[in-house]
Amino acid sequence: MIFLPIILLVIILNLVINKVKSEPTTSTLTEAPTPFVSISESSPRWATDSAFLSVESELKTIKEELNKPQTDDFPLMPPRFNFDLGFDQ
Amino acid sequence: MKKIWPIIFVSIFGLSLNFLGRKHVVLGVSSQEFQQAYQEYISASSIYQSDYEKFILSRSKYLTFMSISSESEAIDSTKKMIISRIDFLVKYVTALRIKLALETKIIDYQENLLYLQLDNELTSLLNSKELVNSAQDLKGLNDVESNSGRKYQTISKLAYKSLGLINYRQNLKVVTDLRKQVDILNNKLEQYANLGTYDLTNSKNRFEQTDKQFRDLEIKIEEDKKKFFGLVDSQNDPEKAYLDYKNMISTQKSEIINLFSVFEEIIFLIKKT
Repeated sequence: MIFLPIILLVIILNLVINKVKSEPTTSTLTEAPTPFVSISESSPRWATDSAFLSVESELKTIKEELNKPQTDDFPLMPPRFNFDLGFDQ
Repeated sequence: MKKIWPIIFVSIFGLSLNFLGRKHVVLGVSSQEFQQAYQEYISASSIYQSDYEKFILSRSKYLTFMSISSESEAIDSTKKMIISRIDFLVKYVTALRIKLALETKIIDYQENLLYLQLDNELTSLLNSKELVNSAQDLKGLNDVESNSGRKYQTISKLAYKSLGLINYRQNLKVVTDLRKQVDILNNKLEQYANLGTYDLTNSKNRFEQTDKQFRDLEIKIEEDKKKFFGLVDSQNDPEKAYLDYKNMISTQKSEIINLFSVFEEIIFLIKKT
């Protein structure tokens, strides 16, 4: 079952590759302009540091989780039973 | 040779998709499966309650009239109640096994052992139905019942241990995650220092101190768990041991929350660079 989607993807990809190969090449293609990303010189290093920003948001999530009141939606405390049938009364 | 790369790429992509589709699956167990098992446990509980009430009525009738017909009725309703209780317990242990697998991922020896013990109890519970059905009279049922009482003590100890392990694993995971964040932040500060924007001398000690605090907390979490397991094994009241352990877990949580001031400090240092 695991390999079915993989085999399908392999087939589709090979078809796409073959199609691309059969098409005319570079002469008709134009290079897309590189998007210009403006970074303000005054913005601090950390403000554009994705690793740092992700740590900050991860910490925020953990703190929120820890401060949440503890409620178990599916409590599983062992039930109580009386194993004395009480026929000897 | 060139043709092999797309195949490798697609294979990896396909496998990744396959794993993404199986989010939250542990040991072939999913959170949906747990929810279904939990609903079955709740339904089994209602059936048991209803059969228990019928048993109480027939017992009272038998104790009043002491007739052959009331005895036969009492035997039938007692058998039915005990069988319902076994079904209820089977559903309980099943839900608990799934929860243990989901929350702990059964990654260490103790968790694995507990999982196998719960498995054994499940089999033993299912087999005990035969004993109930073969009991001929009220005395036979009394014998079955005292055996069930002893068996249930084992099950409840395993159940409290499982619940304790779930709590233990949750706190340990938070501490492990936080230690990772400390490492990342430490690397960030070093990276910024190498770029010449920050002097590391002041923060080095702070990081070492923080690392020690986290290590101490991990040791405390391990020791509390050992203490709890010892109490469950040695005492006759596993519920009390579990409730005491829950208090230890809350204390651990407060200590984790207290460590957050360290992160605020480090983040402040980084933002200052």
